[in-house]
Amino acid sequence: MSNLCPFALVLRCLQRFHSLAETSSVIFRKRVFAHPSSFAAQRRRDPSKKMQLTLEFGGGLELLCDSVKIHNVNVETPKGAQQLAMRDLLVWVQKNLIKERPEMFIKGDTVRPGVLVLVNDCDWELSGQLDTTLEEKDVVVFISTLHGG
Amino acid sequence: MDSAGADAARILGEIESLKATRSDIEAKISALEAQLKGLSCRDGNGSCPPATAAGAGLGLGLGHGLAPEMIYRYSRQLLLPSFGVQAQSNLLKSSILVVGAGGLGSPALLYLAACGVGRLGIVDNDVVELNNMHRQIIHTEAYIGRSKVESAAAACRAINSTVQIVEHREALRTTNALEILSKYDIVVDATDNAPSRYMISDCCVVLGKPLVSGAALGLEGQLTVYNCSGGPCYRCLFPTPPPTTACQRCSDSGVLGVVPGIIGCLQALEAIKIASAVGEPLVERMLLFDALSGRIRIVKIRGRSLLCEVCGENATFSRQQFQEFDYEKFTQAPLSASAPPKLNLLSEDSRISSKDYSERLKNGEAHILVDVRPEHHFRIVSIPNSLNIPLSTLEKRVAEISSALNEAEGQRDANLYVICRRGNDSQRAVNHLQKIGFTSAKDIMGGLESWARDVDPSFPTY
Ligand SMILES: [Zn+2]
Repeated sequence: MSNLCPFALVLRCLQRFHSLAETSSVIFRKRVFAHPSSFAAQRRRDPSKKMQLTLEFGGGLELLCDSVKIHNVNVETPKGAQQLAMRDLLVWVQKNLIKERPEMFIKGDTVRPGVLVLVNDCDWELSGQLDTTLEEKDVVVFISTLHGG
Repeated sequence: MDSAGADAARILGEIESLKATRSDIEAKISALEAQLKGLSCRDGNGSCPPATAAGAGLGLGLGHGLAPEMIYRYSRQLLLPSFGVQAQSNLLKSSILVVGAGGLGSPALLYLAACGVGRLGIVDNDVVELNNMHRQIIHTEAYIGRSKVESAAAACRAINSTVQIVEHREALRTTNALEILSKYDIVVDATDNAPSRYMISDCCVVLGKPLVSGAALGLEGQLTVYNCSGGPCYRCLFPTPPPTTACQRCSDSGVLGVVPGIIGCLQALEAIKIASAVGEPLVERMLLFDALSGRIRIVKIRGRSLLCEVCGENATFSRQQFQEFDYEKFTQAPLSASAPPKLNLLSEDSRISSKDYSERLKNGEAHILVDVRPEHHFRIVSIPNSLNIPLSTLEKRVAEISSALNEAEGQRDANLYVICRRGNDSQRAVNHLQKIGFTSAKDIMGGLESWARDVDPSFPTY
């Protein structure tokens, strides 16, 4: 990957999001792209822009949102904030998608124990948890760990 | 109804006694077969496995230690350039323990036995039940009511008599886990509950064993490898146990048989890769399988946590601490995915036994029966004329109860009974109904399970 310019990397990542069938490779999250035509740069010029995100729920968490697993949503960056962070997204999800038993999703200001959060197929622990900032067309997965067998 | 019930009871009794006879006969056959095998071994007529796989081929100057019959048996694996003789030889020298001979363990064990693992251990304390058969494909109907370990071991031996199968017919506990796990190179977690998962992972950290962990429920599965090549342990990922309400069981939520089958096969694959030192184990990655949408995604997960209480930098989790750790208390859940504990929310006079209810039903008492199970449960089976109002919708549908009560009222006041599968949700429902004014609401103790047991043996259970 290192011999590619950042712009090419962004393109490559976006292509990957569109081809969900591709399963063998792991997308490593890069947060340092500064190419003028990247989405991040576009958003800086237009901070009120709504961000298109794909949110997925699994491992039983979908039962909290009318049993719908995949939600294509537009989320607005909070007033005064430069970027949408996972912290903001959790508040938005709780308000807009969780229809029952919110305690099965949130505990305190984060997800309850036993829920894995993946931003573009990558554990949010690796991108700063609640501080992870989101970009246009990001895919965020909330999955409850299973114990059955 | 009564004579039909008596007939059913008689037939069930007869079936039970025939089954007992059958299992006696089968046990005798097994014993005799074992005896015969022992005799033919001493006669040296070659139907028995060599004591050790390694060394047998040395006479031919093959160098790799595979006996001729091993070469033939495993030829399709030996022909793989990326597997070959070296990997097969590694596999034959390895030992793998599978904890749980259920939905995940069934295919995992079959493939591990078939592929030529040197020694294969099986731990389980359950017996084979009819409602296991759709997914626990290692067991056959002949073994219903008998030990899962005994059944699985027989199946593995039938596939590959050259593998040493070790039976551990006991529940894995902190008291025996260290001793059992220490005898194997690799551990496969094919259990079905949260405390077992923490216990097995901790034990693997203490003993330094790689752990192939799989889970399946409903139409989804998850797979990863813990405590391997510097990767995380189960606690690195889940330092705090989930609330018990988040731990669904197959016996409540259901599971499509092939889903644990797929994950169990993948567990066998990961264990084979580690044992034969081939390929990249699924470390710091997790495979998520969604059967309905037909999607498999592999995600990157965190590495070993420096702060992990068990495997972290300053962790001092010792054998002794492991043995003293109370996993059931830690997770607030039992070390077996058995039925949930019976609640006792209501006073005596708010409850009625299924037998008493059937008497009142026979006497024509004016009443309504509300079944608070989810709709898809109700569709499986229900008591005639019961009204299905799932517990989750009870608050919204109180008016339906009121109008049904008005309709049922003759000269006397109609009674209100509530039933569910096992008698816990019905108590929760009665609790709520009494609070909002239905003071005479009563729960049928033990639910439909007790109805099937004490009133109508022909009533289907699930
Ligand atoms: Zn750890």
